[in-house]
Amino acid sequence: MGNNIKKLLKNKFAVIGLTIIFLLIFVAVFASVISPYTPSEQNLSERLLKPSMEHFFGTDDLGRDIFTRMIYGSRISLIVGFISVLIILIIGTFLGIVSGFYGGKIDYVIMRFTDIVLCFPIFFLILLIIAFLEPNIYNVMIVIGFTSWPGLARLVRAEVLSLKEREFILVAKMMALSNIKIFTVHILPNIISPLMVYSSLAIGGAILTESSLSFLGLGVQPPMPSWGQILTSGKDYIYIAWWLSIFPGIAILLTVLSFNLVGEAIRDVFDPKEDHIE
Amino acid sequence: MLINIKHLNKIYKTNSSFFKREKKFNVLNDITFSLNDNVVLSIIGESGSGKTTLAKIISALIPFDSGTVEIDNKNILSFTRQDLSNTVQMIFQNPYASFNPKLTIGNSLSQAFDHHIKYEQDIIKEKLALVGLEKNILDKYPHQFSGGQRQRIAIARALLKNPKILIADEPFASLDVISQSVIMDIFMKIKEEKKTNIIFITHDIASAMELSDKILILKDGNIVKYDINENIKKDRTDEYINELITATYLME
Repeated sequence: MGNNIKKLLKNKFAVIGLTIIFLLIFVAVFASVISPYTPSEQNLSERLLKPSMEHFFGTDDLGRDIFTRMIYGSRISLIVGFISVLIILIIGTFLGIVSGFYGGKIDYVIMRFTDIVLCFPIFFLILLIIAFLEPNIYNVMIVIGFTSWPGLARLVRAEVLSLKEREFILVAKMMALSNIKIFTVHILPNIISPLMVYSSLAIGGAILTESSLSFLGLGVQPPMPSWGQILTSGKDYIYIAWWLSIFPGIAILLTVLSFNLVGEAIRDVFDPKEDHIE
Repeated sequence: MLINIKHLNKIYKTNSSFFKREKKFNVLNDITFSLNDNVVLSIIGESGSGKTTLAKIISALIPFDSGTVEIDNKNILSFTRQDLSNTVQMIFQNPYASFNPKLTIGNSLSQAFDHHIKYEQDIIKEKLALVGLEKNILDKYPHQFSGGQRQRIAIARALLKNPKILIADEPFASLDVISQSVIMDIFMKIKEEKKTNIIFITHDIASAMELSDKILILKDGNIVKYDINENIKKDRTDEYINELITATYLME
């Protein structure tokens, strides 16, 4: 494991990605300390100000400081990213392991159900569900989590299918280990690397989905600041106040890019077979 | 009677689909034989003759289609997983895949015990000594060992349960000559101890002759011959047996 971290840190892009992610986490945790203003403090005399030393990223149509709002917005993005991916991981891993390990009818039922969920255009499904439920941050996380697991379930199933024929699983069966123990001791630790790659890529996707939903007004509701929502409020002023849309856009881009870079780097680290099951 | 198999059949089916008819392969055809305690059996045959399938059926890793399999005069279907693990253990061809790469050897070995029993350490020490290894290997990971060492640890692990039957499925297949002879010696020791019965699966008739008392020759899922070593050596009438023997000598 320590060896893998060393290899990861040799990858320039991974270091850039990790730096941005850690900076983001730091900013999100210490939002109240870092930010110069409060996120929903309005000052109509300072509407649509250009970026300056007082307002680094300028102000919006209600005179709120964009920099402050974006710092608080990072909390939303990270929470949505991590929680929805956690839900994806739990559902996808569980269904994938059960499906791959037991095979037969159980596998058939789970995989056809997965196909059904996979059939839906996810984004429109999310729109539909959010339209029924109340649009807020919790529903966004839950809906993203409960609709995006099929890819992971298939990935895990494929890994388990190849793992369960390996001799050490047969040995575990001969030693009369319970299935739960075989899952937790023998299967889970050996699929950790694809899981890590998948999650880091999925976090980026989840953040993007949240931004898109907020952009459409179905995600995080005002006055709670989220990057997608700041972006929306800026679209009416795009000709006269470009800073309203540019900065949250860059933030979304950098965050998603960082998670993708780290994901790709983890994949590269684990890919050369040397540290795999020999 | 240690093993008593009657009219055993095993069929592998290919998946059928809309455009493809289901195909059936008879891997084992009406296999009937019995084996007494303290007789080392070798199962010999070319690739695809059903050796490994037969071994996996005896160790209840895969189901069979018809017939009866009795171990220790009990139907194998009536065994619980727990009973079975105390009766049959198996060693596999590929020592590189028979250890979980994420577990230390110690953790891999302690799977043989339900709970942490006091005498656990003593048993582990005893079995490791049998295969010529020390206790200091327990903290290491599988990738730190060579194939031969891993195969020895695998034997020790299988013996931790004190099984009545130890099935060795081509244990030499991926090893160099020196490791092969070391492991052959270990099997000889196990044979002398007479606590565990060995079933040895191989395509190499020479090592089978060396280790076993009785030989069962399989071809395309049928028993060609089942007899004690001497009779098989003498019998040069069967073409298949002849072929197996000459193939071995050609290699040497």
